[in-house]
Amino acid sequence: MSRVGSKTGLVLRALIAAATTVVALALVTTALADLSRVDKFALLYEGQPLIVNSKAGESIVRGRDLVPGQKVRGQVRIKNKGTGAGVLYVRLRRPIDTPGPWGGELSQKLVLTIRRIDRGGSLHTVWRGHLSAMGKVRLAVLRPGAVRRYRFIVSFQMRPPARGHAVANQYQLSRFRTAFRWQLVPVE
Amino acid sequence: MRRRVIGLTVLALLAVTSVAVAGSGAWFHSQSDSYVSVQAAHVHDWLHVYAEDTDPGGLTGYAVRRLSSPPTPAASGQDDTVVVDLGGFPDVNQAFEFARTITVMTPATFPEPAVTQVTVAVTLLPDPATGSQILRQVKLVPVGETKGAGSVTMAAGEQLQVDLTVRTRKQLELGRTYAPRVVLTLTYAGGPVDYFVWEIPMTCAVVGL
Repeated sequence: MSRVGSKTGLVLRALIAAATTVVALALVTTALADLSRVDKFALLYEGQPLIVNSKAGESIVRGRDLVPGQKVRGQVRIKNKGTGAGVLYVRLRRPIDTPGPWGGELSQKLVLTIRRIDRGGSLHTVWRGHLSAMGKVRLAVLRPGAVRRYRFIVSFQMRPPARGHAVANQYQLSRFRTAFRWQLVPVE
Repeated sequence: MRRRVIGLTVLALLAVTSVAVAGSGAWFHSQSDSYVSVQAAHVHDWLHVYAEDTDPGGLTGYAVRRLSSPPTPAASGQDDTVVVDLGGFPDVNQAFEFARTITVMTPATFPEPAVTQVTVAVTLLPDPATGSQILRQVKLVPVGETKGAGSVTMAAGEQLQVDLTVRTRKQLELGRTYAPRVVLTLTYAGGPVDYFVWEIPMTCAVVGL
């Protein structure tokens, strides 16, 4: 008899838990139903920074048939659409070197310059260095609604070889591709 | 009873962890990805290297590998895959002429529209293992002619042949195969100086005949 009672109690508790979950979901869904997608995000990110990237999922810079000394450039606009301030970072994510027939890794010879474009159009270098050596770079603190524009310049830099031609030759047809991960981290 | 206590403990830990993580803001890092992709240029955008078996115009009369029977062209392949086996040579002081070992050809249009001509220079590198240079006098020659130069200006769509001389000596090691290289360097106004470089591998076997 007690075993039957225990089973009934267990089923009853499970039913109550399921009913509570369904009611909670229904309440949340109803509350969010009238809100736009952005508003829903804003609600979820209440008090948090929310990044909007003008080049989300797209290339900031693309270049083919680069020769030493050549540069390619592009721009990106980053906005904090959230309601909290955030520190803006950028870092490489999944860099891929595809060597050409002579095996050189192009990232070793690519120099990246990130320049902030101010409202007046003036440029300020915020980071410069070899792409292969780039870590997580802190760029700015963005208050809610703040916008920053950055220019990315990738240059193929190679000194003439000391002797022979093997060094100069080895980067031909090499490719490099990477993602840049932009991150807004809430200000503590 | 024991199971219930464990279950409640797990639930309590989950609740505490959730509150702590949510409170720290760790879940709310907002992030987005953009991309950069670049590719370096290749000399074959500016200059092609051909042998008799790959010549686009069907040009024949390429240099024959010495001592080959039946006579076989010394070079084969195209661009990166070109290899040149000049054949077997004696270990005596003697010169052997090879006319049209390979040909070089500029494309119908250059990758940079502003460029109307390029300069191609041809030089030699010795066998890396011994430091010996068995090749002499390499030059770029208009197809079918004999006079040429080590550095030539080429327009788009132009073809030149590479003529060279093998100079054997008594001091060469019998039985050794020497591997010198012919180096083609292409430059153009405003372009890089030491970047568009071909190294064409060659072999010469010292067989005593």
